[in-house]
Amino acid sequence: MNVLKHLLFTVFMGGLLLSADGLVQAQGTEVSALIEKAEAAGIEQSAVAELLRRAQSQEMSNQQLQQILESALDLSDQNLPGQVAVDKALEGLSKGVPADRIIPAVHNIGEGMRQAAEIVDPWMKRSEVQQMMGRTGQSMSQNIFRGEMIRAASKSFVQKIPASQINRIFNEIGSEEILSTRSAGDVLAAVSVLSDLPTSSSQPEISASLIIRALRGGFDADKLQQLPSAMKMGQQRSQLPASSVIEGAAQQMEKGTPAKQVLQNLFNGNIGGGPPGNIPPGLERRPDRGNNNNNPGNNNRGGNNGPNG
Amino acid sequence: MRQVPLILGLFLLITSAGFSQQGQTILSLDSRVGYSTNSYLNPFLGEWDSTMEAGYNFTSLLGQSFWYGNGHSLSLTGGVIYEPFFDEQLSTWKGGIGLLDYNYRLANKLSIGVEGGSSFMQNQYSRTFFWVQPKITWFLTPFTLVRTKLGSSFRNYRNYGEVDELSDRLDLYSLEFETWPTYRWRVTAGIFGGMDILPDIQKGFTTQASAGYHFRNGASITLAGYVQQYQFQQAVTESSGGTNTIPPAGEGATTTTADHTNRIIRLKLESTLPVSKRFALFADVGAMRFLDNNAEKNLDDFNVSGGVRFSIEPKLNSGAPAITPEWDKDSDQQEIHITFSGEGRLYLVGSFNNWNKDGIPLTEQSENTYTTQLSLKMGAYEYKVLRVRGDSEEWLEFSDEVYTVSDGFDSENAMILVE
Repeated sequence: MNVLKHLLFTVFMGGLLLSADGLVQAQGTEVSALIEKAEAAGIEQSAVAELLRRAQSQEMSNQQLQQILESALDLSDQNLPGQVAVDKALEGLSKGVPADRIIPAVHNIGEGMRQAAEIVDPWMKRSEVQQMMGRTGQSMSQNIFRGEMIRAASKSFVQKIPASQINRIFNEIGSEEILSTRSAGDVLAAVSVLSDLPTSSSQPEISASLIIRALRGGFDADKLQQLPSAMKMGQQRSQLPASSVIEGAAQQMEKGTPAKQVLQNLFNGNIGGGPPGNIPPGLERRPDRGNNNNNPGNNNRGGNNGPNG
Repeated sequence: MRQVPLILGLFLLITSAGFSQQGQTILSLDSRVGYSTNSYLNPFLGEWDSTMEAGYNFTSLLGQSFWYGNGHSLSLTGGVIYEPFFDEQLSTWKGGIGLLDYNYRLANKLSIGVEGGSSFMQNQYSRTFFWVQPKITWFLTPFTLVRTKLGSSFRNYRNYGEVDELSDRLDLYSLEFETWPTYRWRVTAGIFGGMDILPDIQKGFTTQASAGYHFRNGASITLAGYVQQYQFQQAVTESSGGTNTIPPAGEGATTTTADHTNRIIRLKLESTLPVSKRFALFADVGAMRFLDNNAEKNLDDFNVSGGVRFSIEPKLNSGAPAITPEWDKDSDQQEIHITFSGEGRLYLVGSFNNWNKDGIPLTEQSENTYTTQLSLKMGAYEYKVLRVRGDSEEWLEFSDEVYTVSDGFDSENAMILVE
C-alpha cells in the first residue's frame, strides 16, 4: 500500500513539474514577445535589458515581469510615456523592494498618467501654451514637455487630489498673464510640486492658489521646487496650521517679497508675520530675559523688589 | 548650583536620544559689557539695588534644543551664567538656568502647553527660583494670538544678611497679546501679576507693550515699555519695603497704616544685527524712573550694554546625517555637490542611470565635499544617494530643505529638473 502511495505521489509531482515547466516556457515566450514590442514602442532597450537582468537576479517571476511590460506597453499604446513604468520597476528592484509591491506602484503610476493625459492633452492645444512653446529660447520640445507634464500631473492623481483642482491649476497657469512670462520648466515645476504641498490632500484649493501666486510672484523652477520643503519646515517650526503658513507665504508673495527671501523666511519658521514658534536661530529667548520683565522667575508681581526692598 | 549639572545632563540626554532628528540644537556663547546705575536693569540679575552703579560683563553659555512633530513642540534650554562687575567692591554673580517650554496644538486656533524653569544665582548670598506655568494660546487669526498663563513660582534665598534661609511661593497670572500687522512689524502687549491680589489689581501688576521691526537680513530693533505698580503698607524693617520684598520678609516684619503706591516706568531699546551665520552683535539701551507717592524725589536709572553672540549647531546624531545636495546647472552639464562627513563611498543613483547602484560615483573634491558631473537631457529626474561601506549599502536621507517626492515605496526621492 505504501509503495502504491509513493508511486501515485511521484506520478502526481512529475505531472505538476511538467506542466509548470510548460507554463514557464510559455510565459518566457510571452515575455520575449513583450520585450520586442516594448523596444518597438520606443522604450529604451538598455532599460528593458537592465530590467530583465535585475528581474532574474532578484527572482522576479516571468508573470510579474510580464505585468510590468504590459503596463508599459499599455501606456505607450495610449501615447503616454511607457518608459516611466519600466523606470519605476527598475527603481524598485534597485531598492530591494519585493516584486509584489512593485507591481501596484507601476499600476498606480499608469493610472495616474492616464487621468493626467485627459487634462494635459487639451491644455497643450491652448493657443497660450502653443505660443509659449514657440517662443525663442524655449529649450524643451513639445513632445518632451507633454510627457513631463503628464508625469508631473499624475503624481497629483496618485495622491487623490480631485481632478477639479488639478483642472483649476491648469486653467490658471494656462493664462496668457503667466505663460507669457514663464518658461516651460517653470510651469512643469509648478505642476510637479502641487502634490507635495502640505495642504494638497486636505485643502487642495489652497495649494493650487499658492502655486498660482508663486508663479505670479516670480518663483522660477528651482524656487518652486523648494516650496514644498520650505512650507513643511515653516509649518513645523512655527507650529501653525498648514493653511496659515500658506496664507503667510502668499501675503509675502503679494507684497513683492523676493522668492529667495520668502523661502528663507519659511525655512526659518517666520511665517509672513505670523507668531513665530520656539525658533532657536539667534536664540529667541535671550538669556537676559530669563529673570526680568514678565518672567515669573523674578517673582516680580508688580515690581515688588523696589527701592524699599 | 546642584541643579545646573542635572539640567545640562537632562538636556544632553534628550537631544542625543534622537529629538534632534526632528528638531534643532544650538549652543551659544553670549558675552556683553555694559554699565548700569541699578542692578535691577542688569541682564538676568533683576535684583533691586540702586547703589550698585558699575560696569559689568555678562557671559552665558547656553544650549537649546527644539523638537517638534505631530502638533507637539518642546524646547529645552540650559546653561551657565557668569556676571563679574568692574568694581572691586562688588562680587561676581555665578549661576545656571534651565528652561522648558512645551506646546501642543489642540486645534487650528488653540494650543495648550506648559512653561517651566529653574535658576540659581550665587553671590554673597544665593538665590534659587523654580516656576511652572500651564498656558493656553488662542490664535484669533494666524497672525494674532492671545495667551494666558497661570502657575506657581517658588523662591529660596540663603545667607541673605542675617537670615539663613527664606522660602515662599507665589501664584502668578499673565495675559499676553501678540500680533504681526505686517510681515516686518511685531507688536506685543501684556499684563502680569500675583493671583492673590488680582481682585484688587491696583495692589500690584506689570504691564508691557512693545513694537519691533524685523529687517530682511535678520536684524531687528525693538522698543519696549513697562509700567509696574505695587501698593503696600509701610514696612517696619529697614531692609524690607513691604510684604512682597525680595527676599521675602522674615520674622519681625510688621506693617503700619501708611499706604505706599510705587510705580516703575521703564523704556528699553533693543537691537540685534547678525554679521554672519555664527556671529551676531547686539546693543540695548534702557532707562527707568521710580515713583513713590510718599517720597519727595523720583529715582532715575539707566543701563547700556552691547556684545556679541557666537552660535553653533552641533551634530548629535550617531546615524548617517541627512544630506543637502546642491546643483550647479547649465544647459549642457549639471554638477552636484554634497557635504558629507561619514565613512564610505557615495554613489548617485537615479532615473538617469536606470537606478543602477553601480552607477555614478561621487568623488571627494575637498574635505567632506563630494561631487560629480552629469550631462542630462531636458526633463525631470528622480535620484537618491547610496552610501557603500564594505558590504553594507545605505540610502542616505535628504534634509528637510531638499525637494523630495514620494517614490511609491514608502520612501522619498530627490528631484532635479533640467531645462
